[in-house]
Amino acid sequence: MQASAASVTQLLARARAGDARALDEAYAAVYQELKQAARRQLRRERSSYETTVLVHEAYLRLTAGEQPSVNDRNHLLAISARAMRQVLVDNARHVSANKRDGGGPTLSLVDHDADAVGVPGAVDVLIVEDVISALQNIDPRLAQVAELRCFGGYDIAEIAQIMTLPDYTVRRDWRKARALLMTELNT
Amino acid sequence: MSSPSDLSRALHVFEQVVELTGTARDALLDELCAGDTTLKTKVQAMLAADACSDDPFDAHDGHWHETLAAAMDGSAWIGRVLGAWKIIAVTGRGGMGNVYEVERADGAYAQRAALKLIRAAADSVSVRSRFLRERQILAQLRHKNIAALLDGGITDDGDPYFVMEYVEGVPVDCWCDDHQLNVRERIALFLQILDAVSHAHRNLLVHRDLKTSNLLVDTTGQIKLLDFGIAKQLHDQQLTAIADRAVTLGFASPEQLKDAPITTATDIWQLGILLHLLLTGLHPFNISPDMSLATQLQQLTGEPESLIKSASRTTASEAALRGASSPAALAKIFHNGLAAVVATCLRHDPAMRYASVDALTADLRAWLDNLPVLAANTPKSERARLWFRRNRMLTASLAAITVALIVGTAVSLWQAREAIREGARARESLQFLSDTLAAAAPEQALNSEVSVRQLLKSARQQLEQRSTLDNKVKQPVQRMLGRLYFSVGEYRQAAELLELGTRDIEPTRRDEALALADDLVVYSDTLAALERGADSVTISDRAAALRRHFASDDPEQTLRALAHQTLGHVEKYGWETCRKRAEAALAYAMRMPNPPPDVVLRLYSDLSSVANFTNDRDRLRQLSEQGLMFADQHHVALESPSRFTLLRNRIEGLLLDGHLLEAETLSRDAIAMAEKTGGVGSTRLSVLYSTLGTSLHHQGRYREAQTIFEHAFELMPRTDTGPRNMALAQGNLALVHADAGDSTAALRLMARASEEMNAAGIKPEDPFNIELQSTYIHVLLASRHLAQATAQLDQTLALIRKTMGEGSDEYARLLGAAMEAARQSRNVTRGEQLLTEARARATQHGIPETHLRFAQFLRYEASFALLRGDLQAAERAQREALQKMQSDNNTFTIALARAELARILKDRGNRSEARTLIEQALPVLRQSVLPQQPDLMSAEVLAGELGVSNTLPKSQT
Repeated sequence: MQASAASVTQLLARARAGDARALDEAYAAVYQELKQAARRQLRRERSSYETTVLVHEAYLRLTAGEQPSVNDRNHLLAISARAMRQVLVDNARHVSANKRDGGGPTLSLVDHDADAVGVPGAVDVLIVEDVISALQNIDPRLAQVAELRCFGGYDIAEIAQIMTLPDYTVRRDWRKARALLMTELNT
Repeated sequence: MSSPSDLSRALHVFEQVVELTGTARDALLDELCAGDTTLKTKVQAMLAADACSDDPFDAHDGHWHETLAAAMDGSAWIGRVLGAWKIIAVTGRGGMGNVYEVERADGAYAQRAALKLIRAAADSVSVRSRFLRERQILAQLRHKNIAALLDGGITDDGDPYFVMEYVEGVPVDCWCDDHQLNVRERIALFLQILDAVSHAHRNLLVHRDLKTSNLLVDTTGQIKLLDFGIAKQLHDQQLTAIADRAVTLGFASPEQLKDAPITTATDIWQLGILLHLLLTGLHPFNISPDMSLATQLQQLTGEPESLIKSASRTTASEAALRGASSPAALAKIFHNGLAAVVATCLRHDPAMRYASVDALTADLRAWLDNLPVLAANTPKSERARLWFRRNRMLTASLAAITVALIVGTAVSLWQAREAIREGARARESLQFLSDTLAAAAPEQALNSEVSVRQLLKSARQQLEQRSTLDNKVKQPVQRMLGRLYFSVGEYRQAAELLELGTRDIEPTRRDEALALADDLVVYSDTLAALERGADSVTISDRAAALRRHFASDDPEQTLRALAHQTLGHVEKYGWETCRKRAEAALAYAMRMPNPPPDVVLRLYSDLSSVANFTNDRDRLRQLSEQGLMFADQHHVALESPSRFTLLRNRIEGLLLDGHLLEAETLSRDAIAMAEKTGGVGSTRLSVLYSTLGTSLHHQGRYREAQTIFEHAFELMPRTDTGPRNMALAQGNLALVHADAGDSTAALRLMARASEEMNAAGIKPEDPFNIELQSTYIHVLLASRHLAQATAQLDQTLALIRKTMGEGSDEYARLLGAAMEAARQSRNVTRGEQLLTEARARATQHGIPETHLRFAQFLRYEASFALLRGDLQAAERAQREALQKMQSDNNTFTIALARAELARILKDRGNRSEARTLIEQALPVLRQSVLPQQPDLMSAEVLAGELGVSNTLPKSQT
């Protein structure tokens, strides 16, 4: 699926007017774009994974030539973080499943000082996903802050802008979410 | 994960208490939890997490994003087939790529192996073939303690991979602890590692990534050394610059951090770290993986903690794991030699470490046998000598050196400055480094010519783009780039960067001051190359002042201050003063026990250049030969730029002595080498083509000479060449055109050359200007512009008398031109006077009777006799001239002399011999010069008179 730049902005406009299917389509386009961006990034980058870069890259490709309204912009960035989350989680599930099938303890050639054995990344991604899913049921705003922070790579000010919330609210939410996430990751 | 309601309550409680502290918080927490211990534990864990200051989810330095990368990475690979191997699982992530568990895809036989995929796109054919060749070498490395390399290849994406024996084992440090090996047992196990590394070294392979995770102990208790994947052949430095950045920092040797050449001593360093860790459980530089990169680098620049100190501050349980009753007891074990052994491995200077793994092995065996270890007793100089002997082959490629310099300077800058500890600047440095390195893709690094320039260009652009970069970071990089531009002969670029890099610096420390002085010397040389003499002297003086101020006690620095002089100094003080200064400096250097070769070669170059410019043939020959011999004795590489001036002067000497064939051969050899190694800079290459052109010109091979001079001129980079050199190059070209008979082109070129000199405001008495004037006179005479030639001749001779005196070689050589003018104007009296004077001068200057110049004198003697009407004397002199010329290789001059003899013989009535001679001469003359060349024209006329012209094929042009 190849979403043209114009269509995403249009889809968002239609979504704003109440067309639920338009939003799904916009989301699908972003998801597709991010997945490709992620693959490209892996070829380029060596160690760290800058989701913001990916999201922005996807954003720019999807809105090429257009200046979306502030609302649409924030909406698109929020969708992008959601899509990024799904890309990463899908992937982690895939890795994790393969790992179990592969079986056996892993040993040689691992950097001992790095986080070593197994595929730690996949496990951690799934834990974060579980926490955010759980939060969605009890405090959706908190869940979205965590989503934007963890999978969108945005900082507090950016999240406040995207969610049109005061900075201090986001900061307080993130403080809670972060404490929870770190606790879960440590257990 | 707790239930939604539990989670909701935990978040609620957390929010209530998180802003409180101390007992108030505890009280409210108790109250809100109301006896629910699960809830309380959960909230307490959250509060503890909250108290932790770093944010792993931060997009810039958090671990989370690495985790995401880990999650993304690799998954796509499972199930893929690479060559004969199918990936069945992700085993882990290494510094440079992933490691997978693989099995044979073809099912030929059951074999499990580990596949290491290296993320370094090997896109070009040459990189691929190099990689595959290397795979062969690694596959031949067989040792019971080295995990065998089974296969290797390149993926469709261009990433190389290695397949290795799958080792089921435990990292050596864990294994030692699990089995509670005591110190002696640990040393015994360590000897297995040494045996493996020594085996590799004997096969010219350096591991360069030795670390605990690469050293497994298998189920039978055997050490298995993994990952020879990034080890490169000792000789082959080019591909590794980038790969090495992936080395685990805790084990990285100083030379790896600086990207200096990697040698066997690199492995010795890493073995030292390893031994320290095994024996004490602590890192000798107190590095732990959770430290920031900046802190780790900072730590590594310090001195290692001694084994004894580490042992004494370790825990009782760590000591117990090593069979010691207490940390103090453990420390006591190390007193007797082991501390010295580890310290010898961990010397910053590679030359000061153990000279070989075998020497380290010998010491550890001695310790096991309760014999004294040698580590502490080997004199430093001996150790350095041994090291240099082992690593002489390590003349790294220019590309590797370039990368090393770029990285080295920035990193050592890092180490040097206190201020750099501050995070922001450190990150900038790192970013700069990595960007620069990314630009130096491995396939480019293979081609030294391309890479040096590209690398420099990209580094300079990087630097320019960073307008916010602190000058403390920027200036040293500018200076280093300036030096590199100088070394490839791009002087304008070099001058610009060196100016920026040395501006407004007031060093306060000795090492800074001396480093700056070294850079200023290069800056001064750059300005001299651009013929900005006065500026060059100013900068040179600034360098000398720094050395005197900061290191008056250091003979080497005194020598450097004494030795440096440039063309600017000649302008200011004259040749004689400069020669004396250089001679004094050379004498000073030779009194030193180990004079620095670069300075000595520089002095020989300067002195031979003075001899060259003052036409002092004996000194020119002696000094250039002595200098080159010194270079050989001190193993200065053949293609080293420090040999260049000496080589060029050696050729100039041969030209002056009339050894034209030798000069030609030597020029051609030098050109071949310069073109092969690349990166000598087109200016230097142009100089070599000029000497070749001159040797051809003097052989009368005008047409060939013309092509070569034209090429030399093309090679001269206009922007990086000063007006003197530009003008002289055009003068050379003009002269060869004139001699070939194309006077129009010659005069046009000459006019342009004079214009170039005049526009730059170079004074008429400047030695280069005088040389150009001489050339002009020759061009005018060859074009038969007699009146102009005579006028210019009078003017220039007067100038030479005033500045250089009648005793100078310039004067003597211009006498030749004056004789030619007299011959053309048929002024016999004047001509014969000049001939007498010229002969006397030549003898005075020690020119041997066999020199071509004396043959030319005889030709003039004959000409003047002919003009006088003394045909007998003319015939005798001309025959003698011809005889003298036979030993020479100048077929053109011989033909010319034959034609002249034919004219005399015809006048004497000996028409038959005259005919024979003209028949021999004409084809050669026609071959060498254009039909309108005056000598050829008069020969054609003579041939017509003798009735032979129709029997000869006509000139082809």
